[in-house]
Amino acid sequence: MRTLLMLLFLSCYALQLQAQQRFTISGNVTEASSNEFLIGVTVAIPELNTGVVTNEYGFYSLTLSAGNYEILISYLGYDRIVEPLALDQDKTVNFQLIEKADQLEEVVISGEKDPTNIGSPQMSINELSIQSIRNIPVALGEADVIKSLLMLPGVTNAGETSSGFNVRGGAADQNLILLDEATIYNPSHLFGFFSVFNTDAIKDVKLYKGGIPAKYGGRISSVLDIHQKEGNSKDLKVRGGIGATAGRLMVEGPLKKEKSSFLLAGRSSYAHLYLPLFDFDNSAFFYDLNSKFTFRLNQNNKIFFSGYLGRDAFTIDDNFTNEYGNSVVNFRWNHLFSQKLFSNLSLIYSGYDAGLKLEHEKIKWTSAINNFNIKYDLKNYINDRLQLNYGINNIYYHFDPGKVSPNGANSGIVESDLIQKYANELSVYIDIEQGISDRLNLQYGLRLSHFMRLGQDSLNLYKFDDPLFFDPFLLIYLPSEPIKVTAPGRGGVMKRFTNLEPRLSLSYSFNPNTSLKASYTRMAQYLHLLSNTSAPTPVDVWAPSGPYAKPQILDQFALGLFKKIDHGKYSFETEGFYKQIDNRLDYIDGADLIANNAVEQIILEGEARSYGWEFLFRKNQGKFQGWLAYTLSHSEQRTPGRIPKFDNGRSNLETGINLGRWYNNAYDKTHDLSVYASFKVSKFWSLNANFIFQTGQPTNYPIGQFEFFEQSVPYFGERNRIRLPDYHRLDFSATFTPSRSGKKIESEWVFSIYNLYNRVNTASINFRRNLDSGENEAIRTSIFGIVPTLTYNFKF
Amino acid sequence: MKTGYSILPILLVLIMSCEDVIKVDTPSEEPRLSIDALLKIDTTDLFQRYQVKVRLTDSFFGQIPVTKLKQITIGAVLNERVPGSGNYEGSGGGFQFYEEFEYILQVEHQDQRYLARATNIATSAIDTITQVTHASSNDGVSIAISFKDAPDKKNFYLFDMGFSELMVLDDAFFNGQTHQFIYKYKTALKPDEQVEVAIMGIDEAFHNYMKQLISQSVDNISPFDTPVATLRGNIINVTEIDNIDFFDNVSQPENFALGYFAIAQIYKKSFIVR
Repeated sequence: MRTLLMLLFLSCYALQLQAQQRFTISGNVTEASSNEFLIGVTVAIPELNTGVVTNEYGFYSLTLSAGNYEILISYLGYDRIVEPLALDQDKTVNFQLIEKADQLEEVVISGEKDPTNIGSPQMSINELSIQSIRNIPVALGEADVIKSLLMLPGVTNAGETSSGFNVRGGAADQNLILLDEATIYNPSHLFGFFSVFNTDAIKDVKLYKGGIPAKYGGRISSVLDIHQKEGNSKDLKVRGGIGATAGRLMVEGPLKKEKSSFLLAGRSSYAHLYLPLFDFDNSAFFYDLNSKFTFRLNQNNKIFFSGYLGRDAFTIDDNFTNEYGNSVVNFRWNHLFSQKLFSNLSLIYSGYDAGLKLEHEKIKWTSAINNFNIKYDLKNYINDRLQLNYGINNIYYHFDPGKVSPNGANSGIVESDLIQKYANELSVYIDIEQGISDRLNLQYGLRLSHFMRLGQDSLNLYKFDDPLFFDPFLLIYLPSEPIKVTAPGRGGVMKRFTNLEPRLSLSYSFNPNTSLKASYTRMAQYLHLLSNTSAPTPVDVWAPSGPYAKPQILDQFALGLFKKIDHGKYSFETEGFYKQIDNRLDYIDGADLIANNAVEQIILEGEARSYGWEFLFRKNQGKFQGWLAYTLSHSEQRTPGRIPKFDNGRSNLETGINLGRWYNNAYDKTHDLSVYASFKVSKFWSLNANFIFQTGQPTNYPIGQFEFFEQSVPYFGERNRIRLPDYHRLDFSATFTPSRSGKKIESEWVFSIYNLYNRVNTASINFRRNLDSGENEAIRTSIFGIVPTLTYNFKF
Repeated sequence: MKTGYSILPILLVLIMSCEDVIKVDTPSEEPRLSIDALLKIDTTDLFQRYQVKVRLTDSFFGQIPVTKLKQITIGAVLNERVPGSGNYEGSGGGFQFYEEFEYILQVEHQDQRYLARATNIATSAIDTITQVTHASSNDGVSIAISFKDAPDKKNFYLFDMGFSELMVLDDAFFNGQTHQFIYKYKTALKPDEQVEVAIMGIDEAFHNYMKQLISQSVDNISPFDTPVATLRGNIINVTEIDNIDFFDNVSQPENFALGYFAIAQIYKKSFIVR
């Protein structure tokens, strides 16, 4: 309540300031050759020391006192525009920026966007240009958004073959991944070899690790906000590539010149076509399709349709078949109510489904999550020092855990439907960006979220509402038998949760080159990805909070120092963070999650926390560019025993999971160092290299062995007590761009070597008895040795 | 899938992974008592013979030592037939295990007393075992096993395929049906070899225990596996439990024996490798 009053007060104070006559200049900033909207372009009035940046639809609006100014439009990698501006009435001005000629003689070679936005209160952002993502060498030569983000501080993943990514010690299911504002549930193809984002179709990538604006909610660790290109509305363009494992093709062009455009992009792996040549039984295959249609009806109305469809299929050993994929359909309407009030309405469907077929066991199973999302976001540019963002968002979820059915003759499997679940998440938010003085800027807001777990066909009831039974002698948890199965029916609400999520960020600039930023974020997450493996698998099922699982609640504090050195030639940023997460689900030992109709019988609520310090030093301009990123952090969780519901007069406490003690998360990496360097040798050649060092992943080694059933059984202590050996590798790539010499096709050869010095990085160690020798042994599994690849890219 | 298949060691099998044996220093702790008390009750035998093996733990690369008990009883006293073997055997004729009855194991070792309870679980016999050939039969032998699941209750099964290859199964998705599944041997079998396969009836707790035991000792540990942790059996140290100060084990979680006490009805069936 106090926060709310303060908000009101500050807003009124700001409104009072606009006494003299003021006018508004607004419009869009686009890229000259393609007419693509540009995100994050600075539109500034240098003499007033004020300005704004364009929003995710390339729109800007500035309200100033009447007068004659000079307006400056700047965006890294583009020629800046400086124009006189006579502001004697409201004006609509659209700007077109021209990409800087990439000439070697030029001292400044385009690089990252203004990476350390000194004045803005927004902190904890990882941002990469699509060009950098293309340049970073990766295994198998396919430019990759997520693999590139792993090169920046605070972001890791659980291993070379693990899906998803972990931000500041958070779990992979705590990342909100948005593609054109639609939720993507699984960002990985082929178990993490590739991410689902085709870089040819993408315009902008931004990862919020902390200080997350109130506009975003529903996941507690990070927001990865990705925007697709609208498509070139001036000329038909084609871009594509052929790599070792996958090929890509993207076509974009005008439907009606400068009015409407389309973009179609496809990508497919073809390794499955040649693997059988090596007598290889296993097959893996993926494809994805991106599409977008943009209609610029007039200055005040724009309509966007976008879609994404991705699919993976695996067959292992003729026995195991796994198929999964995301699909997204999205309609958006941008409307300008006035020069100062921008709005966007989004209608979004997104879904994810996964299926599993086991030939030997003669069983198959599918599951899906679908959501329908209505979002209405408004941005009110009150004046150059005050902007209000507010909106409403309603998401309806349908969780379809699918059915289990027989696969093949003689199977005794009885077809059975698992229980469908439904939920609705409604949220409203207000977010205020306010310049208090030339030095102090604030961004503060509040999100109110309300989650309803809707009725379902059947719900288990347990004695004392306790789906888990603790054996005080064996010290293990066992499922309780339901005392009753009720049918709440689909109409009603079984459980409601309401959360107020305050957000606050501030920046204090000591001078134009140095600032201190701080933020506090509270967020609630109502969905849980049921996963008890070190890294998520494609068949993990999303489950809503409800009678037996509370939402996860995060509190995060971050503090950072940001510095530009030598007019932005170099930049330095460092941030510390502390995160506390309540109601993190944990699973009893040996829990089975797949096709489980009573998940409440194997989960307990615990807590997680992480803290760390991040450093990032970048060189942003010149022939030689790159960065050094280092993170020192710790991430752990614990699940103590539940508090007894009643006192039986004796000790009736529980030990919890892992005896209630803190244990390291699988993605706890103490040291994480990444160095990336790119060197433009000549007009034709450029070289890129990166080096990564990470503390080994937490795991367990046996503390002993015992004999059971004529087997030697390794005996482990508490969870994740030991670490695998440290992980490190060096990658290198060389890009050759042949002279165009009048040809229409622009082409490029990328030769890359992953893991140059062939480091044997341990993915896992297994302890077992060698049946031939009768001796116990430790067997190391490693994934990638040295991997050279050649990729050919073209555009015309 | 509550069916006991370890899913998803997948990707490690895919393209570029490689395996090698390395030297690792494993930690160790004080030796702990381990008791292998899985009693297999073959109702076709005239005399029920059963054996409990008692050992101490050792570091993973060490040798498992035998230990001597002061006393061990399951209804009647068990005797160490071969002195120093650590193998205690039931008397044979005197004692009978009845289906669905509960029995108690009591062990005295040094000055500690241990106790466990188990119910004799009935099971179904294996109907057929047939060897199957795959379209892309590269290596290894696969067999199709079928059996009839008893209706009206939750059943759990432990299969001993021979060659220390074990598998657990539950009937969640085929309750009361005749079920067939295919098992692929990890061991290379020789043609004309006779292989004995056994089906055992177990309860849910032992099913969960065996599932974890198999996954920790045989399967790969991969990113797709759950974090491995202490595998607690059902044999508890009752020395301190006096029902005056100590009613349970919550305050002494480190004080337990490894291993399990279970009584499983067993049926065997053989096939000859083609």
